Amino acid sequence: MKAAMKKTGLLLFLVGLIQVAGGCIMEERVIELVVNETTCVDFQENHATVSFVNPVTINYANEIQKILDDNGVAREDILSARLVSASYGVTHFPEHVDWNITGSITVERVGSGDGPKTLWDYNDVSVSAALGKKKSMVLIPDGVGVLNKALADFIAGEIPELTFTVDNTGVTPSPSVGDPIVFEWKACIVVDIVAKTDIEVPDPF
Amino acid sequence: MAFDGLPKKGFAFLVLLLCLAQPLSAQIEDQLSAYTGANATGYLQPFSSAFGADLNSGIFRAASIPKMHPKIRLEFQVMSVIFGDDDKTFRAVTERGFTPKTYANAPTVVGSGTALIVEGDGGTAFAFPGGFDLHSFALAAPQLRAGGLFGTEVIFRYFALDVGGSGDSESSDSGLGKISLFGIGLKHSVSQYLPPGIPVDLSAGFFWQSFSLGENKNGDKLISSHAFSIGVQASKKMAMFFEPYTGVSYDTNSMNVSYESEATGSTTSIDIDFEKESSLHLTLGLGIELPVVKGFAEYNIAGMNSFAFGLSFGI
Repeated sequence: MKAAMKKTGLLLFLVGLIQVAGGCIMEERVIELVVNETTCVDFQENHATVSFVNPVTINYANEIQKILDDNGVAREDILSARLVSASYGVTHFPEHVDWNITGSITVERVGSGDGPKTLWDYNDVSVSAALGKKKSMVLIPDGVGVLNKALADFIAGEIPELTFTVDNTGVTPSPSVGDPIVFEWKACIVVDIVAKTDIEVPDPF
Repeated sequence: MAFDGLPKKGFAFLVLLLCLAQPLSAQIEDQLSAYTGANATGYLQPFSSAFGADLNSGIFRAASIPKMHPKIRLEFQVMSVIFGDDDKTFRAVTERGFTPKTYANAPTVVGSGTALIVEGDGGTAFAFPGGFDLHSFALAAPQLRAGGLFGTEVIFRYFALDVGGSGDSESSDSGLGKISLFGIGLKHSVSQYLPPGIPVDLSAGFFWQSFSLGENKNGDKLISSHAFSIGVQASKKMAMFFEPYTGVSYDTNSMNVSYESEATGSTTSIDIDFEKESSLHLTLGLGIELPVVKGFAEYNIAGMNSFAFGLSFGI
């Protein structure tokens, strides 16, 4: 009994020591982490004219929420979210002589009257040269503004849906019913989400 | 008998210290996931240097080694660096297709917790993650010193703990992976070969260590580090219990970090080998030799300055 009491006393002492020492060694910190989010929109083109319009709508809130869940970040912890860059690439191009295309990609907020605004103007872009590549877009502030506002509204609790539209105005050589322009491509936007997180770190001295 | 409980308490304290590094390792992978290549190296560089400085501290201590007399001691020690302002930022460069390419002084892993945001073309922005705002980085190590045979002693460091699980997001709160430390070295008395009359004890020794911390999302080691030190020591027993000592050594350390990054838009395994660091190392310390319990404290001037202190028990 005496030995058991002695062991219990030692155990309590150790627990106390660990708690006291832990309190001295651990420091609370609020740190800001950066979560990267890449959202891609796929366009399938099959047209017989030089001008064509191809809209694709995505639930942007779902895309962001998924990446937040993967990283264990709550929406309330987000401090800011901004567009970093955008890129495009051709994902499927049946064997054919090259097409060169001219036009723009616009972005519009569904149901809010925000947009459409031009995100990227492309001029005489080779389809075959972009096959399997990731090429940078030179972004236009109007379209970036629509995206950044959608991100800010997501942080505020809204569920933004976005429509990205290919508004093509030129194709060389000209396609026809017998020789349509057929290819698939995607546009990707990269977003940095800055979120705060509480952590205890060992910083004893 | 009065000291029976002390090694147990000391061991509990060491377990605590080593375990405390685990939450840090789990969060580091989250912070690193925003970075690839050069930025990740710059972000973690102070950590790499601190690991090396801590591991190469508190090893050799006093130079006196009995020529033919058993000596066995269980030692508990804490080694730490204090970070300076130069360790808080690094020259970072934007990634992820951001234009224009922009350089900035971004927080390192020990720097400010606030993210740094730079503005780009057309309303875009790039964010560098914050650090952990650390003043110090400490490691603790149990060490066994045995010798007294032909003026030689062998030194072991060993610790292994599996906190369970891996560092994936679902289990990161409870499953933080493994932590392990192994080190081995020898110290040999030089004084035994010298003529009598030299006022100090002299010795020479070397020590090699391997340390790993945490698991990445693949279940591999998140951080692994190796350190080596070879040097000579001098000490003088004074006033019964005190033994001031000094030492000069040549240290090397290397670190590898393996993690998953989503900075490129898809999950990519990043494996970074930090360049091996080497430096000359001057130690100034004081040992206190009581009959059963001994203590020491030392300051180390090297590539990154550090200090160490601890207790040992034995003969």
